[in-house]
Amino acid sequence: MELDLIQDAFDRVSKKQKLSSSKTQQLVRQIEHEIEQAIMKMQSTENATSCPELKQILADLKNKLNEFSPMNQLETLQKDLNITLGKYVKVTEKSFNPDISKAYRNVDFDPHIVNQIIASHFYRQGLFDLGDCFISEANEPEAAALKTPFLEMYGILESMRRRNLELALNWASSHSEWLAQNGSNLELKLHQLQFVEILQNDSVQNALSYVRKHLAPNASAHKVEIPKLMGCLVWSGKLHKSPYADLLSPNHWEKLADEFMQQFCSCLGQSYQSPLSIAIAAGIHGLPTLLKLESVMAVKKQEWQAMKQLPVPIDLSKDFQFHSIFVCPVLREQGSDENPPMLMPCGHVLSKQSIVKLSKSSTRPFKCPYCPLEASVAQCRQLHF
Amino acid sequence: MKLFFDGKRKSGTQNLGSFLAHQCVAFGEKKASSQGGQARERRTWGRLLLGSPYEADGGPRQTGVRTLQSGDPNGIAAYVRARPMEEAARPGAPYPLARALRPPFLASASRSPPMVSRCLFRRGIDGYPCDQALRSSASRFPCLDDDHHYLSISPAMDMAVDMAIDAAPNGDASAAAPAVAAAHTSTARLAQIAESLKLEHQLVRVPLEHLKKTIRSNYRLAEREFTAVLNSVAEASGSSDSRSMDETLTRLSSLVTRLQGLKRKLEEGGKVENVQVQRCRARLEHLGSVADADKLDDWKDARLNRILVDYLLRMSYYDSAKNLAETADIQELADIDVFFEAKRVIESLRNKDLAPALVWCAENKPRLKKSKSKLEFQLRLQEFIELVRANEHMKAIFYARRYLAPWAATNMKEMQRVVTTLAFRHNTECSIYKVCQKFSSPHKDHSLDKVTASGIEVDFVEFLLGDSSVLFEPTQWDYLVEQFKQEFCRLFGMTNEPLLNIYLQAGLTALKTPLCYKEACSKEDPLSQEGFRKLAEPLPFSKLHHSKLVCYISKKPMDHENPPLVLPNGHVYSTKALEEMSRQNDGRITCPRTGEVCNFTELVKAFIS
Repeated sequence: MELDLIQDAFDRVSKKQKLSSSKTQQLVRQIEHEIEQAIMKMQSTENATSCPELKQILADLKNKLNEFSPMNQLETLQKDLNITLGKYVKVTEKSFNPDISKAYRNVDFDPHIVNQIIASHFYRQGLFDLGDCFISEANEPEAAALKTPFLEMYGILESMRRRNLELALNWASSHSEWLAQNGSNLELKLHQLQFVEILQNDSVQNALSYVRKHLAPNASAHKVEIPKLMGCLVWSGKLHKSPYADLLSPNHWEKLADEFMQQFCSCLGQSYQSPLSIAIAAGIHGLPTLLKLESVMAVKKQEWQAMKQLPVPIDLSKDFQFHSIFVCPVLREQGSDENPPMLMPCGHVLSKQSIVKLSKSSTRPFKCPYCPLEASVAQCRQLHF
Repeated sequence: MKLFFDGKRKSGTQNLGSFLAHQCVAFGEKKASSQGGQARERRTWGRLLLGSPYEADGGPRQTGVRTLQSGDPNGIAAYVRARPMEEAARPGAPYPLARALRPPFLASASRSPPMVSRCLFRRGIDGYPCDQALRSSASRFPCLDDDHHYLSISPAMDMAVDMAIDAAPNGDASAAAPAVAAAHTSTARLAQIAESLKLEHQLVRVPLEHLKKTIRSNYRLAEREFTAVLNSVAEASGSSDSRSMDETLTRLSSLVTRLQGLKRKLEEGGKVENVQVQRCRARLEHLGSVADADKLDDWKDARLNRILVDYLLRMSYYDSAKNLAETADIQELADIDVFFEAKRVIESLRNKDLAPALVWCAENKPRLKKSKSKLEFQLRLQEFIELVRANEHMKAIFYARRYLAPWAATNMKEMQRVVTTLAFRHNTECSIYKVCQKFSSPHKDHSLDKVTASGIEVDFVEFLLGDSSVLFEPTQWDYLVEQFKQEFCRLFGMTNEPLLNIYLQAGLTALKTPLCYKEACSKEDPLSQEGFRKLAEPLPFSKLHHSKLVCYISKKPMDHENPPLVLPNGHVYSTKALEEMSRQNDGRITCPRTGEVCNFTELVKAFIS
């Protein structure tokens, strides 16, 4: 994409525009000057009512004006400018795709749903005022229900930024069962960080009592971390010189904030990143392919609108992989409940249908297409991804 | 060379490397004998597989031979991985290794799928050659070879080539590979960014159209004033009757003031033009700034916000749009002032006032005509209907004669439909009066039970007026607003649909799989949300040609650097996650979904392409 070409073309446009603008103003000044001259001449003639003199001056004026014909000059300026503008437009049309809505399917996007999605996106990004303003303008009072959980989350994040872990700890303890179920040790990390804070700012005694109160009950689960924390006690006041200096680094706060957000969102049943931004990013990845596909299928326009599955894959990066999708290498079809993937003894995986086909309906052993190991249908096990 | 070929003939075909070599030999022999250029063919194959065949020092060639002999898939993959990059990177490299691995050439000597034409592969060569070429061949020809149960090596090739080309750097790769592979991913990313820039036509076109409009209006202003001044001067000098000096002086000085006024206006207009030029330039620079890798995330956020602002403006939520533009600091990139012009017209239309809309049409007449727009006609029709509704029939008729007649040629049918309303209003004295009453009210439901006229007449009326009743509805105004918005967007070079809808549709199509609609869908997937699911219902599913697996435990992809392992109960997880679990539990693995316990040693590796 030759941005330089476009910028050059635009520089030419801007130069022409400046030129045209200044020349026009110059023309105006010239006309004005001529007329003023004529006025002065008229005022300076002694014979006030002599017609021929007056006429002469006026005729002179007219001739002068026609001489440098401002209208023609104006026209030429405008024509030049239009030509340059036209060239620039051509350059943009060549470099950019002029109509990206060609691949748009004529399905109606229910505006209420879209508005709700947008409102929840705003709340998730922490833009609460904007969200409220949007809801009132779009007249969607139901979307306000999404506000409260995110308000809470941002409140906690704000306090964490100010190095106050109390709200976070409250949340973690109230959701400790859920966290344990999901294998997250958020609570432990919060306690660790709090401990280090107390140790630095407060006395050893308080730190010790803190550990006793919060970490002792679950000591068996934290066999690795508690000794470390105890070790820190020895270096109280000189923690940056101890082997545990890394506990002081500010990254921990950021990482913990991220992890907290992650756990909070998944507790709510929401994704970590705003779903709208994921969907739009996927769209930006995939739109060029769709446009190409549409132009190829342009002949059979009907099929484009009505198809159930895309004929070509859209290449999305790893960030967009949310599901395990198995595609049988033989049939090039996705695995499903009726056609599950099967593992053969040699370690290769095919779909059930292709195995059945290969073995001529489960009668005799067949050779794996990848490696020449024989296998029979009974030896293949179904896989669950 | 001879060493290579002779050595390989004897080995069995149990492993990939030797299988490969075996096939080369089989084909090489066949081709050589058919063409008679034995030495040439061997040189070619040598070069293909091992690079320069004439190295006497036994360097790369010998190691290459040893690698291929070993049959170790990782080694071969590493070897294959290293070569195509180098070959492709060398300018003028005639026979990239990747091309050598095409299935038809290496298929078993027995009946193999038809030879794919050279052009198919050549087309696939640019970019990552073997991948696409192989996939296109595989999709074209059936892979199941009934007689021999040997696939034409394509899945194997896919595996080797995928390992070589697709995967990110592997731990046991040769040193050259990681650097080259990293370069590959960043070039891919740059290419992807360049593609996405091509979609930004609207960003660049709209300020340009705005600039053109300002230039045009300034020009017309100057033109008008100049003509007036020159005509006035010409008239004054040309007139035969005598005028007093005072009169002429006043006239001339009035011209001077007029010109001074013009000067001021042109100055202001020039300033506006400059601002708009600056805006165009700022946008081009913004597009250029995407090359700056540090600020890429900010750029992407700005893009999302731009898309949202565009949607908000099109739906006429002006305050939110302004708010968002300020918060996200994208004022130069958003077309808020362009839409403010539209705001005036839209609000007046909502208030059932057609005047600003008609003024706008008059201002943009030439361009609307070029795009064959019917907006003005529809606005005039609405005005006519309003006159009819207000019972001002004579006015309505004159109005129609003046304004609707010019459009009659192209829009006869619609005009007839509308004018019919007038015709029937005239007969209000007769028994159809009640019918007309019903028609003039906004209710669509017009039951005719109170009519006293004969049934036939009523039917006739209903037949003729059936469609027209809708013209009296208040929804007609909404329809006009929509039409105006569409014309407006078209004139400024904007897309017909809001950008948000376009991108959202594309994204949902790309993400949509049948698994998204099941309960077990991961919450990270946007399609797990109810709203997105509803929106995505009428859209097609996406398609994949290769398996893409995600570990249930770690949510990371399971590919060649993190291969899948199978538990005895058939569930599959990634190696890394299972290793971690076994480390923490003394070598025992607990399946997270069924709870069964087994040992790490009982796990089996699965090979998935």
